[in-house]
Amino acid sequence: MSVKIKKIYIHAFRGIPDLELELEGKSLLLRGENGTGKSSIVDAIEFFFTGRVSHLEGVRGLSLQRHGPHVNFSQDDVNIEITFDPGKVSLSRTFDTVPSPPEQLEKYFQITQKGTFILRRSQILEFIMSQPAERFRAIGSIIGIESLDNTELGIKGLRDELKVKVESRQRQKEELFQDLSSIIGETILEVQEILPALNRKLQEYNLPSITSLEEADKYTEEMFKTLKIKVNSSDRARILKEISDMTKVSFIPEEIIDELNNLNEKVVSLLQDRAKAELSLVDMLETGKRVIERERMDICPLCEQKIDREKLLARIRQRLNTVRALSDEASEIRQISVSVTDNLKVLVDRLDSIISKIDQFEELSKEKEIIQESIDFLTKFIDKIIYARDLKNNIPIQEIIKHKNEINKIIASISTKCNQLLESAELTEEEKKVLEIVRLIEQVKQNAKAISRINSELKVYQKYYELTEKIYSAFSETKKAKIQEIYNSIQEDIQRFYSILHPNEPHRNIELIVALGRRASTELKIESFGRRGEDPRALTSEGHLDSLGLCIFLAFVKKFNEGCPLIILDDVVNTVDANHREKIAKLLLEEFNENQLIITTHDGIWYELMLSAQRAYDSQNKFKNMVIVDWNVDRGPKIMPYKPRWERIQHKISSGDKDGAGNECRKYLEWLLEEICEKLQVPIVFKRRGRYVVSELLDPAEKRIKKLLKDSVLKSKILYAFRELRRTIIMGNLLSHNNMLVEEVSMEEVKSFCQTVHELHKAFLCPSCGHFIGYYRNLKIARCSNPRCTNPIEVKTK
Amino acid sequence: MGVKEEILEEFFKKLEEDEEFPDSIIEELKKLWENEEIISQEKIFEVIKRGCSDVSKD
Repeated sequence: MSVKIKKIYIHAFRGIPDLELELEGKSLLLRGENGTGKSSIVDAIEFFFTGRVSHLEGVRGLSLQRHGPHVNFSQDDVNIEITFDPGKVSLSRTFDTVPSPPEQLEKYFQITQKGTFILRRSQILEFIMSQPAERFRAIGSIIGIESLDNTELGIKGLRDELKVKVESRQRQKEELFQDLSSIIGETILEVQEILPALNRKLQEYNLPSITSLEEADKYTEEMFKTLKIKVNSSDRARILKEISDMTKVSFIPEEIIDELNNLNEKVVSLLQDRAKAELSLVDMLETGKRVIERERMDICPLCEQKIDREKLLARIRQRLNTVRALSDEASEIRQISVSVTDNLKVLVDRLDSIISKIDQFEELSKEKEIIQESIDFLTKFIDKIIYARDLKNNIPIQEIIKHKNEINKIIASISTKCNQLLESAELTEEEKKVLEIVRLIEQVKQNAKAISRINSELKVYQKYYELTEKIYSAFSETKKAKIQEIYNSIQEDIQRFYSILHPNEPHRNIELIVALGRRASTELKIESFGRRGEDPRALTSEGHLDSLGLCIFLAFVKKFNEGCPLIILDDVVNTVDANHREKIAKLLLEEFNENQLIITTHDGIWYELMLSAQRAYDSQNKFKNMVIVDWNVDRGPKIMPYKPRWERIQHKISSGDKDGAGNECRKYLEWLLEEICEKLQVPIVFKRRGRYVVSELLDPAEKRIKKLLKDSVLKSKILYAFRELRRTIIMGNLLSHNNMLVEEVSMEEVKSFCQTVHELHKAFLCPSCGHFIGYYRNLKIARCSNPRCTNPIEVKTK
Repeated sequence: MGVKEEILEEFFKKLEEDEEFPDSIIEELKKLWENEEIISQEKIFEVIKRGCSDVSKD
């Protein structure tokens, strides 16, 4: 036996101070004007199962804590209690407590806690109008793969970062080889080419070869000995020469500024759009996570409500993941920021290296201080880039431009002083030559060492990248294939549901397609007017789009909410015309007859269509049909069981409401005559707008019966009812217009008029099943119009 | 088996079919998924680093 809601009790929530709804396991059809508390009931059910009210989330100024409780109550007062069958299990949700379902309800709760059993008008468009990525998210939550999606995003982020690291090392390696080539004066592309090239260079100076770069130090020492140069004095000159060489390259090249500008533009653009609101939550979520983890608290420090620590932490982590990796743009920003910060770190290393070299020169102490300040600035600036990468702020580009000039100025000053100091070292030509060779050997050695380090890093990162790429490809491909498989499996249902709503219309082949080349994206296509693969927004009306959204939702719910028959449709047929609304009623009654539907609407026609569908499918006993007759803030919605028109008229008569009964009965008669004319194909004068008054339909209807039906009990009964109606119809005219004589009409006369209308109606109903009689021209009969009637009334026509 | 479980099963099968892919990483990833709903970028990186160092030790 499937789980059904037996009773709902709502206290102090949204527009409801206190309400008890007895569903007895049946579906609920609820009509009410806008603003009378229909959606409050839906919100309360959503809150009970999920602890959330989705339409209060993500909108600035709205919150469950502030707008969940009824205005006259506080959070502490809120209580939603639902009783389930079988077992009459009652569970409740407050702001402090969550329902703990027993074993037999576990599966039901696993599904309902995702909130995917509710479709609101605002959500219906998520399936149709949203971007492919948003559509994927909406569907992902029904399928239950949101967590996989967040993990996939993490793997992708890792792969992208590793790719940047690999590329950056490849670039550095290339640059080092270029430097080497320029130092030695020939092109070097491989490590093993370095030593032979260096030896060729030494040959040019008539110097002996070296057997390995490791013995370079010993080699240069020997050179100094041979040439009898003091190592110390030459060291000083050599270092000065090195510093001078280091100052010849630009310290903050324009490329870095360009890269920073590019990064900043992307950050600013993302900060300006909707992501900002979401991303600004990161700080708050991180702080909350730290506090809850550190303090091991079970009470929320903000609202002092009890919390389920583990569940809350898991939810915060999930939210952080989602928010951090909000979009592909954020991913791109992360990639660029890795490259920019790597480049700036190289600059910091170079400045560090200069400091270590100028340390021994008293003459350069002032420059040393300024360089140290620049290092501090760049280190902090790297932090600012990381801050911007996390979309907390933009990058203060002007700061680095200002510093760029200062750094270049001080580097120029160092260069000048170094050259002056070098000149004062008064080296001979021979000494200068030796220094040149020593410097060359040392530069080659350093570059070779750096290449070796970069090579090992490259090897490691290359391996990490290859493995991550394999993980990402396997994960992404599997996920896409599985989701497409799911789409294929429900496409038939979507198409079938849509065909029920729109038979004989030129729209078919509805397809949900996992977008190729994108990580998490779903495209929706339809064949319209013979053109396949069209975006449905291009060729169909708003009503069609709404019904398509409904079909997609129902197809997913059918496949994935197995074990949970609850489906809530909150005011979802607004833009659908009457003919298609009738078809939606048919779809729900045919395909979801065993579900527990909760349908709210403000639309009287849709409500009546649902009532007719219940009768047609013998499902009256499966529904609770209710109407919200009134609402005020202190009492909330006043909900009454639905009464058929005749019961409402009787109620008005018994309460002495003469005008009300007369007006209602006049409308009843208009509707009845329209039904008779339609069902019995009565010839009437055509009116473009189709609005008829009683006098325009009464005579043709009576004449039709006289001419159409052969003599029978039915014919006599109907004609008698017409005669009785004519006797009292003057009362209807008096009561329905603003007539001075209305005071003269007695309640008995009103009652008599209403009774004759009702008798006429009864005369046209099948005595066996209560359905209207219709005329079947080809068969030359008038008979009960219910094809399921087991004992239909039938009379011959002329 | 839910969709999520089916995807994970198929995903691990694909990795296992790749003879060059280290088994230790697959095992560690499986453990991660057993214990956590969402696996962070940092945790995956840790697993890969450990897996690579195991391979180089072998």
